Amino acid sequence: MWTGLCTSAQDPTTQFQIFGHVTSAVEQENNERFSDFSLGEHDFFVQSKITPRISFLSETVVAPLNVAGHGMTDFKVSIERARLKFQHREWFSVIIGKMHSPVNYWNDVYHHGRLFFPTIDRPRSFGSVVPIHTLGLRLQGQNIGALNFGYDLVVGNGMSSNDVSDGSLQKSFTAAVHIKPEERMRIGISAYRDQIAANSVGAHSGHSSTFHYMMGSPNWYPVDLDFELYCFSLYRKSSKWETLLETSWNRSGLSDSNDPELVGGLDSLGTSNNYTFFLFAGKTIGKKKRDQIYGLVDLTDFEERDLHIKSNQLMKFGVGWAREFSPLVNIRAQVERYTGNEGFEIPKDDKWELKVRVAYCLY
Amino acid sequence: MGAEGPRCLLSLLIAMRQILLFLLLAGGPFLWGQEGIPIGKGLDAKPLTSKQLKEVFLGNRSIWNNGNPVTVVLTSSHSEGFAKTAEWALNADAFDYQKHWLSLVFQGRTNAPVFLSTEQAVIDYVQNHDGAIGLLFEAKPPEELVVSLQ
Repeated sequence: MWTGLCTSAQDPTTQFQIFGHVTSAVEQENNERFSDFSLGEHDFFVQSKITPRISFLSETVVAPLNVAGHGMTDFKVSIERARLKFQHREWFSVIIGKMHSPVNYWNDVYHHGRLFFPTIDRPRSFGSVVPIHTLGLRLQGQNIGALNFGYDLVVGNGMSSNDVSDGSLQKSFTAAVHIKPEERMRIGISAYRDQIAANSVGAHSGHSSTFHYMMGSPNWYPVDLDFELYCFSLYRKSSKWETLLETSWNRSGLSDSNDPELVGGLDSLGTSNNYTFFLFAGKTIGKKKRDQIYGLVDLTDFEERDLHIKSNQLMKFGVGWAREFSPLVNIRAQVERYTGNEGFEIPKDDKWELKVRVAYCLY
Repeated sequence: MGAEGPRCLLSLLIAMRQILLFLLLAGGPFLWGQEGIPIGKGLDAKPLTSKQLKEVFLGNRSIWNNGNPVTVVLTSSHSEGFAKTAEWALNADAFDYQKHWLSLVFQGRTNAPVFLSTEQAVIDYVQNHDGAIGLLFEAKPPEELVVSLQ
């Protein structure tokens, strides 16, 4: 095991890993039942120390074309991360390329490695407000001082850009800070700002379009929107307990760049305030400490006045069990109840789901 | 008679060096709370504190103050030395320590440690790489590689 990391004492060093998962689900939704086995994302991870101070990292993912619902018919290939890092000192690194936006703990730590996920699915905020990637420039400092303070400042292509480039002058900005008072504890806050051109959904908006207004859908307006996202994350792991809290506050409204005559009927909407809340808590059980039982709560609340994300008040509750066979293979079984409130553009969920997932890493 | 003074002083200094080296190799681990002897090359001139040493083996340090990159050198994840390092650094078993490194590298926050099959290979690697640091539990550390600790 881990022979992939062995070197013959020669620089530079490169290591390759593959992360993957297989999932099986049984659902009951509105008196209809479904079941399936599905191949999930397969993630080819490369990390290379090119020189003592310059390193490269990439994740190339082969993923189902449509990750929502039962419409998966094929796979697509996507470069999810490809970044070059120059490290000057602990307190200052420069990173350039495509990276996961460091807005919250989940997106900055788990990326596409299902092996590391504490639950089977990402929080729902990932399909709505979290700008998963940024293609741009990042300044980073970490493990500074007694509290292991860290910062990330990012400027890059915004949420309406495509996966390759961005045709607009407008860029997104991220500022995130965190502290690690204990080794397996991290508290972080972040602010993200972008202008979404023509209310479009680009490559970095998320991995599901269920929540977004898209061209051609009712109530879609091709207007520029100011988008702000503020996140708070708390992660802690002790010998028995593991906890992750992810919360976000999103504000979006008409941008000043719009033609006043064209948005005259919309400016009374003002700015929408949307919230997401995700809490995971797990307890390690068993003598060998390889099993964990856990619970999760995932809530979203998006106002009707929002022009970018369809209004909803959705809730998900779940309990699960996980077992680690080795650091490189684990299995999770999770029972989830999807529900919510009526009266919003996205109808209330009424679904039970049992999911089992095996996640692995290969060297 | 005139040469006796400097000669005595030299003998005294040599004796003190030997005593200090003995304390470092035998008593040091007890003092800084881990069983292994840290070895390194091209590290900071200032002796490391126990906390700083632990931070290195947790992957929380990437660059020494002298500009050399930190390269953590470990024995295989099945080895006793790996388990002892895990217990000392993370207060966890080898399983958790392996996950810890796997996650850190995946995040892109640190470079992967170098894993070698024997402690002798760790010594050889450290000898040839500025900024490399390892922990020895069984092999005799070369004096010139032993890391100074506060």
